[in-house]
Amino acid sequence: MAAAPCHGYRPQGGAPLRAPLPRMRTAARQRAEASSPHGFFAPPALVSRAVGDVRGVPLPHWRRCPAARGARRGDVGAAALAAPPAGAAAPAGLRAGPRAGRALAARGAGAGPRLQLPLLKSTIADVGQYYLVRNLSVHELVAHEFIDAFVKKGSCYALTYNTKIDQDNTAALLPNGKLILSVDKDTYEELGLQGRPSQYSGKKVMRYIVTVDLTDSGFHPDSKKHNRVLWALKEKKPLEFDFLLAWYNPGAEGSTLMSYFSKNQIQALKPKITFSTLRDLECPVLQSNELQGKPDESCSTEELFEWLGAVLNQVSLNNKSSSFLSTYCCPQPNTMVEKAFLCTITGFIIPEKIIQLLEQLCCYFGEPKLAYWLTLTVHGFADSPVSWRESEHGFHKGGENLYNFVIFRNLDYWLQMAVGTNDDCPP
Amino acid sequence: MPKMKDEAIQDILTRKAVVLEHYSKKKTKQKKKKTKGFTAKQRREMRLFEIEPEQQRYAIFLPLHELWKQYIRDLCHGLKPDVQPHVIQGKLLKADLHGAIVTVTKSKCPSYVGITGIILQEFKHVFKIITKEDKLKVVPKLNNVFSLEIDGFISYIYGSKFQLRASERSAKKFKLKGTIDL
Repeated sequence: MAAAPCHGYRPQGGAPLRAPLPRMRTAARQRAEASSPHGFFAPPALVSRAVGDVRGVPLPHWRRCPAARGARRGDVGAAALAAPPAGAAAPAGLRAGPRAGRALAARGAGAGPRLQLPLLKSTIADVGQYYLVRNLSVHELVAHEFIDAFVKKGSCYALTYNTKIDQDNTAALLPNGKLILSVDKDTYEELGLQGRPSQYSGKKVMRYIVTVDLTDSGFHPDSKKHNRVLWALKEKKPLEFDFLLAWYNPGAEGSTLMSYFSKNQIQALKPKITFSTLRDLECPVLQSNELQGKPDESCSTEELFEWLGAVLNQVSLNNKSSSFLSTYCCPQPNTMVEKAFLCTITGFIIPEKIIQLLEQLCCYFGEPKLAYWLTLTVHGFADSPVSWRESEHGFHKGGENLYNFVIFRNLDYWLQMAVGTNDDCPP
Repeated sequence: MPKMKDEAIQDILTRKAVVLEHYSKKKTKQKKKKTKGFTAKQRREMRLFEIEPEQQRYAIFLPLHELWKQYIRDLCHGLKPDVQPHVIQGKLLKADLHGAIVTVTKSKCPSYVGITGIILQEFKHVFKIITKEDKLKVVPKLNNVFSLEIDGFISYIYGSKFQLRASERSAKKFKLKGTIDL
């Protein structure tokens, strides 16, 4: 695997990522033999799944597919890369990077490349917007006005900004109404709210997870639970963070986050979208029903995953003897593509927008194109307290948690999910 | 001696002193009248230290708190703002804490955090505290940090190092040993 460092994962250009993409191991189709996530030296686990035909089925089908079901909070960045066909023209595709979202779009050479780029640009025009609030106290997220206005209607996502999961206190609000606080030992002892020790702590526990269910029936105003939580967060140990907030509401009525938090310094931000073109790229040949790859006909899922990581990190795929960084080659069989198109979306993107993006990409295959496949990669925040659903996420050395869609021309798709060491298996 | 000749016996008797058997009067030691003490089991049965539920009212113990404040002020000679903290600390270590209003600030078990009340009884390992809601709470000292406030001075008591009976604490010298991390 290439040793080149990844691009920055943090939104709005922060510090670069700490480690390159992980080596993965293919698990069985039903993630049967995924490695133990609790072991200190366990390699990250990769689950590859080939799902059948999704042709012609609208939104509800996508909701059933694992990525949508996972409903990862604050999923950021979708990356789609279209693979070139065996022929001359290279298809277009989008690839979004990790949270910060990098979209990589491979553009075909054959049919008028200039026509395709604006088409793609228009399809990923709207990825929603998110808000950054500075110095917001956590007790305001527990206030009943906030719960009634945002948590109970639609889905509200919140994550603390610029906090490290293994060092500082972190808070997150999941769309199912649970507020997760990942606190260190001293804060937990002073806060006074019951929690459990983190799964990834050794003999001496230094990290605790406190979960507060805001939609619980016992959490109405003037209940003991609510009073205790409010007292702990307001008077005993006030916690204040910078929050990234997003709210998805199909009804679109009522106050918005902007007006609710007008007293705090709130900024509305749009995810950053960049496009780039890669020329003369070697792409592996894939067959949708061959997960393991036939020796001379197609590549396996792991090889594709590694190749994707190499391309995203701009690692050269020719095994030059003078290169000290990598000896990585494109897996065989492969084709040379004249142009590939990469689109990167960086920001705090919610799963509903990613589903819309996926549908738009499927529509791309509606007209006959020369592309054989395209890829969409979504990275979760390395510092988020949860990875999939509510399973705890630790940083260890990389904090990766990502999933990758490979969509074929006949609308078959592969779904690959990868996690780091301190993580539970993806669902 | 019985088998010797008469002259020999005479000889010995004139020169040496012969010790006859001697019975000394045994002094009957006067048995110390031990004060009739109770065993711990009997003491518990007698319930000397239990407070009846009717008497478990916070308002009743407020005068006790006032008395305690007065006692501490006398102990520290006034509690002026310019007094050095370690002097007060030294005195508080040996002071009696019955009647102080105390709050649990830090605890390994989060449900103890926030308990505030007047200390009614101090045992070796626990405090019995009565809260404003007239509830008698038994709070262990181990792994708890209590905060004590008197006239603007806030002191923190690390319960893990404080596991002594009140009477014994006045005689003990506290040394810095180990960590105060919970």
